[in-house]
Amino acid sequence: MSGISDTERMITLKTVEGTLFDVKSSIAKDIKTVQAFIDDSDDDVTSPIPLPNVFTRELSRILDYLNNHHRFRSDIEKADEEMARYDAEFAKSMSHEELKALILAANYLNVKDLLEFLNQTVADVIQNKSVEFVRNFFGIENDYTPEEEEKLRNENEWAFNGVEQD
Amino acid sequence: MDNNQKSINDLPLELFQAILLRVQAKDLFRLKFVSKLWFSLISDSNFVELHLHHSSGFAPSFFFNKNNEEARLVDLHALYNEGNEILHAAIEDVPLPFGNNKKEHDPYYFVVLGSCRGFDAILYGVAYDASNDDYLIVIAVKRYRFDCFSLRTNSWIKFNAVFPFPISILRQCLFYSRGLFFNGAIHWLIIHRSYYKAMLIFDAKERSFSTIALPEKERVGPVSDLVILGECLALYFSCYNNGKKTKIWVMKEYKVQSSWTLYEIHNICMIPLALSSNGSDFIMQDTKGDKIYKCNLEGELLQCFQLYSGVIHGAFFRRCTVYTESLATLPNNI
Repeated sequence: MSGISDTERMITLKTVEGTLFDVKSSIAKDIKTVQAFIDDSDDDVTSPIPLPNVFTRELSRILDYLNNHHRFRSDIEKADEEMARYDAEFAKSMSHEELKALILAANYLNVKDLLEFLNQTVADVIQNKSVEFVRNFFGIENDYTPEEEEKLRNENEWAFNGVEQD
Repeated sequence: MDNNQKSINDLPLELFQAILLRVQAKDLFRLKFVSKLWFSLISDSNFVELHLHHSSGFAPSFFFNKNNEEARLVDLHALYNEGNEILHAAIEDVPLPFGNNKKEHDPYYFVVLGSCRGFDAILYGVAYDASNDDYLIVIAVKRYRFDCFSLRTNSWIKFNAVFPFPISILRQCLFYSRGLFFNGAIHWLIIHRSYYKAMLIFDAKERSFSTIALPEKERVGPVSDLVILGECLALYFSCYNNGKKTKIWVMKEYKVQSSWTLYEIHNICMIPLALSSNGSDFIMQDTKGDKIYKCNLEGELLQCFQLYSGVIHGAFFRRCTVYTESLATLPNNI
């Protein structure tokens, strides 16, 4: 073993576009898909780990999130407050398209905390929104016949009150 | 879009479920109409249970009737954050989900789960203070204290009641708990290390706390709630050891520990709603919310009423209505 401790070990990740990111192994631990790849490798991973489903924009966001959260966690005193402020900014900084792309990436990479946070962000986005908005947001096709839909709506008129304009 | 790029619609169902668990019930009812898949996802009884106990916590809203045809919703979260001037802004008219039932002249009120942003309020309840003709909204906030809002004076009331537990017990509450108003007081089950240990009581008139011990030697698990059965306070929970069953403990005499009496209904997990007016049967709702059952005190199922076919009201608001006498007549009103 060399004198380099485990926390200083760097792992290189490669996005779809071919961009390389150097990541501390302590951060990589939170990216379960990457960690599983490392665990499955017999030798020390020295060459870049390819991430065929992850784009540069998303990986950069995910690493930013993880790095910041690691930093917050090292300072217990201010952790909650700063983390909340950072998370709010983080959520606000994304368009809906970017948010969806990030969820897909976080899901593929299996970054649990981030995924939970993004789930909440999406839940907040679709709150008070119309059925049409939600279909559009998720790209879901309406498979109700017009008759079925009308019947359901009539039976549940109350559920459609107080919905925001799209 | 790049061909390699997956659409959000390719997300695994579990992820959709994880997102929907964080959406408030009012929205979920509407979102059933997104697609047939979503309908079954949201109607699924496991999902309903998960949603109910989802620990992200929903801020409480106070939902009350204006007359017998209209109801109003108060977002308690907004109320709590913004102070009392927000009260009117936080009230919105809400149509009643079960339509206008002209036969119902009894005054009633109920609490539903509201805003999604409330991470804090963990115990809440509404009490009627008969001595002042006032409605009090009592909430407890994690790591904080109890607060009491008077609807009559439209302001927060200071009270210095001694909380009978270490305040740190509030931190152990995993999810919000709605207090049950009974006998002039709000009652909550207090959780400690995953099991309910005691009942907390807030007397609306005295504005003081007290406690009642739960039945001895009973492990009251986290999926548990209080209900009024007949003239008695009762607690119920589902049990899954040695086959599933519903256990109902009735406190025959208020605040008398030795009066706890057990009733068991085997092979089914149900939510007791009321005792029939002659006192011989339980009126129960299944956990999906679309059926009402009648069963006798020995636990034998006598009757089943299908409330709605297909579309289920009340599945998420399993505690939404408590109007004892009228439930037995529900099937006639459909």
